[in-house]
Amino acid sequence: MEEDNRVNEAFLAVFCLGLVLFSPLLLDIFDGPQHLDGAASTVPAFVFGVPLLYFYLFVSWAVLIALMALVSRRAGVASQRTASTIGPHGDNE
Amino acid sequence: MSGTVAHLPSWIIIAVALCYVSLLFAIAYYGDKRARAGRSLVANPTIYALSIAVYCTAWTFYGSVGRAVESGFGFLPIYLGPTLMFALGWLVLRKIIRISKLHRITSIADFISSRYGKSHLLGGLVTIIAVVGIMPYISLQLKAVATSFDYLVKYPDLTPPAVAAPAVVGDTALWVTGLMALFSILFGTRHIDATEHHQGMVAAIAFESVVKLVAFLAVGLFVTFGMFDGFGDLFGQALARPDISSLMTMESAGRDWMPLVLLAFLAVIGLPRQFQVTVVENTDEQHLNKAIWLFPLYLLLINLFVLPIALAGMLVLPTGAAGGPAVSPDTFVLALPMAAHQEEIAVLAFLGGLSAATGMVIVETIALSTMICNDLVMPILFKCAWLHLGERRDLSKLLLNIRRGAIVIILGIGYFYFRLIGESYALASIGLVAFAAAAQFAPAVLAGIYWKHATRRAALAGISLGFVIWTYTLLLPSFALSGWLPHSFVDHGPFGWELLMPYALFGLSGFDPVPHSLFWSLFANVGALVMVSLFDRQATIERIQATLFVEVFRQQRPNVAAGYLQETVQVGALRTLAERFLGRERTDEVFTEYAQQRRMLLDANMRADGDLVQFVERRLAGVIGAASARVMVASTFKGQGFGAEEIMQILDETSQVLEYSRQLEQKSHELERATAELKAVNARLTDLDRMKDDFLSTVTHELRTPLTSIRSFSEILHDSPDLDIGERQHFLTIIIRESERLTRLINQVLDLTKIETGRMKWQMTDVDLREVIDHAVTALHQLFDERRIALEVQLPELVPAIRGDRDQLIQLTINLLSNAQKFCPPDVGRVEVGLRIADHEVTVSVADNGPGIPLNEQEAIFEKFHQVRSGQTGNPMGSGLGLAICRGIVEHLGGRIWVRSRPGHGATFFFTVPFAKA
Repeated sequence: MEEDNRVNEAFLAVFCLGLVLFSPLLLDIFDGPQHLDGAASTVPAFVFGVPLLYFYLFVSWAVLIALMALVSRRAGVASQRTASTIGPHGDNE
Repeated sequence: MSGTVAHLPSWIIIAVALCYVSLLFAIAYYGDKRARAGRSLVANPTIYALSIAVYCTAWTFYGSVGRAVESGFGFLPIYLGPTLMFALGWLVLRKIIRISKLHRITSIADFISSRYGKSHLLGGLVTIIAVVGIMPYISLQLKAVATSFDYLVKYPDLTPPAVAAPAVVGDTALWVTGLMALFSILFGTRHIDATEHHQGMVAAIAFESVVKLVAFLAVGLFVTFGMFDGFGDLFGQALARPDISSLMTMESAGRDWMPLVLLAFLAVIGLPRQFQVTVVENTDEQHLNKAIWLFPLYLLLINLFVLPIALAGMLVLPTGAAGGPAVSPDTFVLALPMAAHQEEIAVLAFLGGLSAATGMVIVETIALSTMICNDLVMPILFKCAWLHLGERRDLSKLLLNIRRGAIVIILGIGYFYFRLIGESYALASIGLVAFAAAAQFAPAVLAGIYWKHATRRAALAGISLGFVIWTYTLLLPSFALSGWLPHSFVDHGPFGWELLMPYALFGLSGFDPVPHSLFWSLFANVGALVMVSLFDRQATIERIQATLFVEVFRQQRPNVAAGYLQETVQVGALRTLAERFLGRERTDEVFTEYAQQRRMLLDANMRADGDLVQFVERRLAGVIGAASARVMVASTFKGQGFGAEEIMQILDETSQVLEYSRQLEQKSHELERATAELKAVNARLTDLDRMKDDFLSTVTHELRTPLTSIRSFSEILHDSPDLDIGERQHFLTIIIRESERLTRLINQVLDLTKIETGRMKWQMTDVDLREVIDHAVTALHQLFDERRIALEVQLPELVPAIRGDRDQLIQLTINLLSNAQKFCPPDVGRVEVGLRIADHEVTVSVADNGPGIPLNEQEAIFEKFHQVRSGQTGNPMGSGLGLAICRGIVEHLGGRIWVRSRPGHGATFFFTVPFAKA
């Protein structure tokens, strides 16, 4: 149960991180140096030859998935332990 | 190869598509076969994650690019939402899966209805909303397949003129629809399975997910690295074009971003097909652990090239008159390889789109058909008393046929909807409309698993209100756009009321229709759910289901029969149950007693602990019996949710226990009986032992008396030679008489021993009792005369022969006669011998008019050495063996012997002997 709670917390943290990473506020930061020169439309900033926003979105997405994979490995251990105490399906003997 | 073929003949495309679909059938068939053999193909976390990727439909495959052309990164929230939901997968999805497995949930309608007190109304409502909301989405898939086929056939023409829709018979979409219906029926409704697993279907869906990912990646890689010089080149060229460079910013995606993330976040649990693959088809809860990251990874990969393909399409494909693309952005995925004359990649892309569409249609149809059957049609059929469904034993055939019918109808309607309305709408917007409908289920689901006090009426209100607003702000305007309603309805609101304009309800403007609708519908949905719940009261069954759902992880033993789920019933519910059987007053006493014992206060909303449950159960058992009490208490735990199966299981278990205890009881009865027998045997042995002692001492005593007298008289004779002859004669007479008595006694003892030990030699012949009696009477005649006792013999003329030993029978009669004369007073004594013939035996009676035999001795006189003492002297009057010998003889011959006597009025001895068998 203790282990379950730790996993819950970790996943919740990953979820919150995802919310922040994909929030329009943070996206704005990576949305190019807009309005610097008073241009009507924003000019996308580039990094490694790709738009910064494209780069940011997919990298942060990948990081999020990596974190989820990391936590779910721990979850697998925890749930296996729970499963062994519950037993399979509990069909009548 | 490229450029060598001028065009793609349609038969090649059809052949490829048919091969692909055949392969799907084969995979599904193999998957089902493996499942039946017990070697499941899909019991594998990777396949599970791939099957969840049915999320990516033709809308993803073709529509994402289209959406990217319109709004840049605006396609991405649809995939970030599910990623966030899967980040919560361990908390939310695992809980839903666990609950669904425990409660045998078959669909999202089933889930919601079960959570809110097994409400048929709610289940039906969810089903109707799902069908109405998803139907356009299914049409969309059919349209995508048809469009892509028609487009591919025109190769190498990239901008074919719009053609009129072909006749129904020649329509590609119709054939696709038919094949999908066939697939769904074959692999979705093959049999009724308790777990609702369709392993063949899941295997095929997982395969389709691989195909569409590979196809999309192939197109993306080819476009990026084949048509352009990598990402840098592609994005660089796009940057140089001011009209498309804004697609690489948040500009066109900005305002709708978060609403769409939320929409997809909710839809991924609310969409019937997602619920089907994620929850219902889940074979092992552990598989979720991998799907949690593998499914988002899949989404990431399939989205990686969306923006590059969109940009490339804008850069490469011919522009139309207005400066916009002449090729529909929804077909860029096909058009780009075609423009580069890569037929293989174009066909691969077509297959990818086909797999995305078929996968979605198949799963969605199966999920919807299950819902229609279980939550809409069956409850109605069961209410129709005239159908007598309740009496039908096997309903599975009926269920399957309803589902098959539902599949055909869904796909039929989907096809005609596509023919009617489909042409006017872009792919992406229809998809979002469906998402918005499915999202209406999410609040009820999420509240259902986390908030115990969400009530049935609240869920009904929330979902209906959300649906009404969805209809008003998305569905009706889409009808208006298709010309079924006046266009002014959208532009100026109904009857010109601008406040009610469907795309700017209550003045909320500036959003796209979908986020706008989502805001209002969710606002109403969640608002109603919360407000009604706060002011509503739950019925017992709702409370029970709510607790079972919310606290599913606290239930240590999911098996109901093994012991019911403790801690999941409220004190109030138990009390209500107790009142039904015990009455209010008695119930109050019981609960007060419990509370006082534990020194605690019982509140109706408190969870009842195991002790209280047992306490109540035992009290109930006192009234209705233990088994019924258990079922009743158990029924409180799950209410109606307590399926007949579980009750049967409990009954079965109890009856097993009952049977067991009955056997135990029987065994203990047997033991008791055996013990009693042993005791009796022991008592008899003790008796026998005592009798033997008695016998010995009596025999010794009886032998000694005559011996003593013989010896004393002999001594007198010996010591007194001068005795006169008269006296000498007298003494010798005594000696002789005593010797005779001694001999008789010894003979009797021997006889009796022989009879008792079975060593007597019986000479069985047919005997005439008259002759026996005559013989005995003659033998004793002298004796009777001497004592002047009258002897009367009255015998019938004819007596049937009996089977017996003649000598022993004479002995028996003599014994009785001599006994009789012995006890008769001289001179007035009178003995009567009689003989009666009954059905199958002869009864001989010997009556005297002696002193009679006291009642308490009438049985005992037949015992050995039981001597009737004469009333006056108290001296024994016989050896005490005569009657015992009589009894031995009679019983050996199969008769009975008894005496009837009234003291002072003589005694009559009877014995019977059965007839000789003819």
